[in-house]
Amino acid sequence: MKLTIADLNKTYLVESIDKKDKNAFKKICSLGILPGVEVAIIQKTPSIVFQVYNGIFAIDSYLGDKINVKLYRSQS
Amino acid sequence: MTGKNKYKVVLVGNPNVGKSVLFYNLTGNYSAVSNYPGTTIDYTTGKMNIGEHHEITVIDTPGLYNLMTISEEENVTKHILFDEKPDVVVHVVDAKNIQRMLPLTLQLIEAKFPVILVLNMYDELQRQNLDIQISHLEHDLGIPVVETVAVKGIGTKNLRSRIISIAEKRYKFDPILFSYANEIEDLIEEVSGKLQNDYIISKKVLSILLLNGDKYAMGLIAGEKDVENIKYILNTIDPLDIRLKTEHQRHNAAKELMAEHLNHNGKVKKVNFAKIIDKITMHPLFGLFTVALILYIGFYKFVGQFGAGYLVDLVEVKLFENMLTPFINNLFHKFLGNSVFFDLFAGDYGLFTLGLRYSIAIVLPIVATFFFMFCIIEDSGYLVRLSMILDRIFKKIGLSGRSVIPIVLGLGCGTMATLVTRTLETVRERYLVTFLLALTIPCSAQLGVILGLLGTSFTALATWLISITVIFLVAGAILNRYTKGNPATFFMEVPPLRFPKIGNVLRKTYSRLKWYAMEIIPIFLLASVLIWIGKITKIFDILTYIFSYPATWAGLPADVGEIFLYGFFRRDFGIAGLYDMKELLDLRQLIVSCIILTLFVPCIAQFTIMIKERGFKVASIIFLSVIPFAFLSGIVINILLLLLRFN
Repeated sequence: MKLTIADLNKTYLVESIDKKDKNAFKKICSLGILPGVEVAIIQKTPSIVFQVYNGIFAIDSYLGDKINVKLYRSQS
Repeated sequence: MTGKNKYKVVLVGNPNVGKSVLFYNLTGNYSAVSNYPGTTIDYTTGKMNIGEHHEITVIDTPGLYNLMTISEEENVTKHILFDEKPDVVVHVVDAKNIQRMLPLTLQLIEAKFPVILVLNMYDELQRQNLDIQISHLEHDLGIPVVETVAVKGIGTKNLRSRIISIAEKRYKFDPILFSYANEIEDLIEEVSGKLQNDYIISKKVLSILLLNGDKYAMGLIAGEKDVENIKYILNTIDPLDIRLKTEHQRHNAAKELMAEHLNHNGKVKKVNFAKIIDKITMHPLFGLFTVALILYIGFYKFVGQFGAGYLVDLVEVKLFENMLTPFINNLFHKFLGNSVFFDLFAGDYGLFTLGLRYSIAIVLPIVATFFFMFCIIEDSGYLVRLSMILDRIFKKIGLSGRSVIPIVLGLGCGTMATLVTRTLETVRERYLVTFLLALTIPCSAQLGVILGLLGTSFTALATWLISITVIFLVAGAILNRYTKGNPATFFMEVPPLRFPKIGNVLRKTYSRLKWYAMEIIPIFLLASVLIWIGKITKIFDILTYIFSYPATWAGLPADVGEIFLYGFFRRDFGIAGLYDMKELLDLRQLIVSCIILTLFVPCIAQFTIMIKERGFKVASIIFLSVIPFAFLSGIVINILLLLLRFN
């Protein structure tokens, strides 16, 4: 599923990143958001806020739509 | 000075890991820095002098995520790394985020740069009950690893001695080796086998960059004999796929290393005060309250009432009006009598009585209070939260939350802010923000005087604020509608909220203020001379006459036309002129003239930077479209206010 529809307070694993928009793809890669990485959703509005590694990122729904994830743990 | 060993050290790393503070610690020199303060948008050099025999040049660079660069800032750093032949590359990382940042270290090692890894903000890592076994990590990476807390100056001494030992080639590197999947390694070998020339980076990394589709790397190998064959190979592969795979492998290597060397010492305390504040500032609704609270306390109370009210009154009335101005007038009268040259130095438009008085008595106190407040907000990590909260609203006008930073900075100085638009990712967003800065964003001096002029009446101030906000949104929406290009995307790392260190805040305020003073005082003085020339040649009378027309159309006294003319030299210059004229205007007229002046053309300095950053054509279009827009808005708002029987 897309990161934008992921649930709050759950931890997901990144499965793949959409390659259609090359720039968006490169940007996401540069941030270290790669398949296999754990992301925990902290907040969903006004931006998607998630923890990845030990840092916190905020991204908009456009980029969030490019990240496909699957559920890893329901309690973050 | 001869016989010194000269070395070059380059600081690199992700944005917001504390490179600039570390740079200050190493060079001890903030003031000699030829940089426009703000986010580091250009590189900065400084000297680190150690003994008589060494001279070390330290270069601070804009944020870099990956050698496979995307943004303009990243390219600046890449050029420095590839062109400057550094003797030492200091890779600064945020210690708690080491796993995400280590892949860049691996990339730098792989490129054969002499790298030191600096784990900065080590205290924040410890606060999360984490710990890194530094000596083990150092052993595994085969490069020096140093822990620092730059804001407290911890670890600087150690870092210095490590830098020297590498510069003098005393350190024996034993760089970590790791390989990619076979298919990738084969491709790398195939490409690197065709590279005959010598390069500053290893052929392996150069080949990976080529396989990743990096344009800069392509330019580097333009002189290769086999360039056509290389291009042929590159045409057979999907660069994004290679990108993902190479990136993935570097990240896995980093993950394995950190699994070994990053220790968790029990659970972190769950709820504390900082976390609650953190939640509030990021909350969609309470976040907006925080914005309002900061606007009220920071801008209205501190910059407006304290800076523009109390401080300006102190310097302008008590110092200048009561003491200096009469003294200067008398002095020049003695020497120059009633000649035209008296007016050059003293009198109503003199160099001392107008130029210097405006810049020192009216503008400087306001700008100083603004920069002080901005530095506190910046260092606390709040700006990113503000960007996040406003991202959605900004999207409506084609911008991203990232634009919040130049726009807020524009409330300080539009010139500085126009420069900072360079940090925006898309060219389109840079154009839009440049335009909005030129049109709608008042600089702090303007803002301060406006608060002083309208502050006595809440309705007046609210009318001004609402009008400007509406114009900002409408202008943004129109621009967004009719400008080609992709909409901006938003991503930002959210740093933890930190208590700003007063020393750092003061140092930054001082450095910004110094930049500002160097920038404005000459322009104010120049403006005084030009006004003097304009007055004696009667050119100004003609221009004032022309401007008096739109002024009267907007229901203002004809004299206000002169103020608009001043606005050409500097926006705040115009508004400071309005300050001198406030007794002549009623409240409605004050509101209308404040709105027109807010919207009116950018000052000479900002216009110069607009030309530099966006080109003459675009800058001129912006400049010329702003004038009718400003007057038109003034006329419309005047009519509206009359209809509402506002007085």
